[in-house]
Amino acid sequence: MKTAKQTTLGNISKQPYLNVLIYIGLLFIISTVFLVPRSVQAQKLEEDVNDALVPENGQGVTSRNDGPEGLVTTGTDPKSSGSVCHFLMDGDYVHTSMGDASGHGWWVNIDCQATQAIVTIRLQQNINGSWVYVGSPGQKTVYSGGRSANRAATRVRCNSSTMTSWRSEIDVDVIGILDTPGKFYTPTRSLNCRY
Amino acid sequence: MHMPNGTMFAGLQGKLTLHSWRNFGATESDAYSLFHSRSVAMGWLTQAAKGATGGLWGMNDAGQQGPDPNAQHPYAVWFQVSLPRLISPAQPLPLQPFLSCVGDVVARMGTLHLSAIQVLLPIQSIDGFVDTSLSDEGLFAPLRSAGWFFDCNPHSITRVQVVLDGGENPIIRLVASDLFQWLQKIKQSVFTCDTFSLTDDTNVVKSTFIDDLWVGPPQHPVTFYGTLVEWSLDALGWLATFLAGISFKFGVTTPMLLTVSRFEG
Repeated sequence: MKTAKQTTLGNISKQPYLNVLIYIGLLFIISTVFLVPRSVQAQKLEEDVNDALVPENGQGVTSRNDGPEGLVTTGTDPKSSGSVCHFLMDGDYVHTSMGDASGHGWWVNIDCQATQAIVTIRLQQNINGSWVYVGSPGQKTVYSGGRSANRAATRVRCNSSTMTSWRSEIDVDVIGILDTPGKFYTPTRSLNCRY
Repeated sequence: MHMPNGTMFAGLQGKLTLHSWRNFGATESDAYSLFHSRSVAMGWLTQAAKGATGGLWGMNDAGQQGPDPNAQHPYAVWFQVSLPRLISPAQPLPLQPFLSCVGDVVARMGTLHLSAIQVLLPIQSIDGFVDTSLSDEGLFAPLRSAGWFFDCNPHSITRVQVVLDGGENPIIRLVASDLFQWLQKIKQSVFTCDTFSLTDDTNVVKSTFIDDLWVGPPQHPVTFYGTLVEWSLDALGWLATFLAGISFKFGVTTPMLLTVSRFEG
């Protein structure tokens, strides 16, 4: 009886403990998969991908990350009580010009205290279904608005006229603003140009 | 021939005198930024963002004295945009708003004494697979808009040489005679065509720096002569739209280079 009681008691005491563990596990999975904002997940994914995409020579690195679809980006201004501010990332369609593939990127300030941003643009071509960085990044510290001296540009030589899909990746780092790390990808264009 | 996505390019030859207040070193705006801003303002720009809708073109590039500054005849000012989608034959190619935007930008920059213009006609962007019963709607759109040019100053009528070049594609030369006869039959008075030639020395600038945008270089030209109701980018935009539609009607499905110049003769 004692043994049985002990056994019974043992069963009673162990089963809830196991159940609690299972519940905690399920809650963790649900909160991770469903409750964390998608944008945070997307940003994390993008950070991970981009962290893995630090090339030595800017070439031969692949990515399948499609990046954000919108233009409006937010940042937090630490100097004005951490208020959220907004700016736009913008650019043009990758195009051919004088035998090069070329692209431009810039930013438009909406309500941030900052006045300048570091705009980086990189070209990608699609080879066998994967996006491949080509050429060197174009980077420039610019004021808002995309006027004449305020665009970052990059271009890369077309080594052949093979029809190839291109896009550009634009990153805007507003100086003094803790902005989101997302990058902006322009729509795909088919050009008679392959690096 | 591999067809790239549709590109509209306009290269303007002549002398651009900048407004006196536009000191070149101090101005913040340039042809690129002005064209982009104007396109946004008029609802003509398709944002370079995935899933973007609306607008007629996506921004590519623009500038002065280029695209090749070392060319023998660089354009005084030039503009390049992409067509983000195929155009139904029920719609005209957006060449007239494109050149209207070009005109707005040029006027913002200064005064241009235009001697000639080269325009890339992205005929490959006309969707040939849609309902053929609509195929003439886009072609006739310029006829419906021709009223804009009624009552122009009679002294503005300008004699012009119009060269259509198919680049690698010779078809425009094969259909030139039919096209000319059709031009004479259509009731409109914006462009009156009186003769054409397959053999004239066209003096067209061999703009090899845009060859990769179409099926260049120029090698299969047809030259038309006639009068344009006025020598303006508005009228040239109308003419470009009209000729692109006619060319498509007569079987051209590849890009063509249009060169229009004032002609004394």
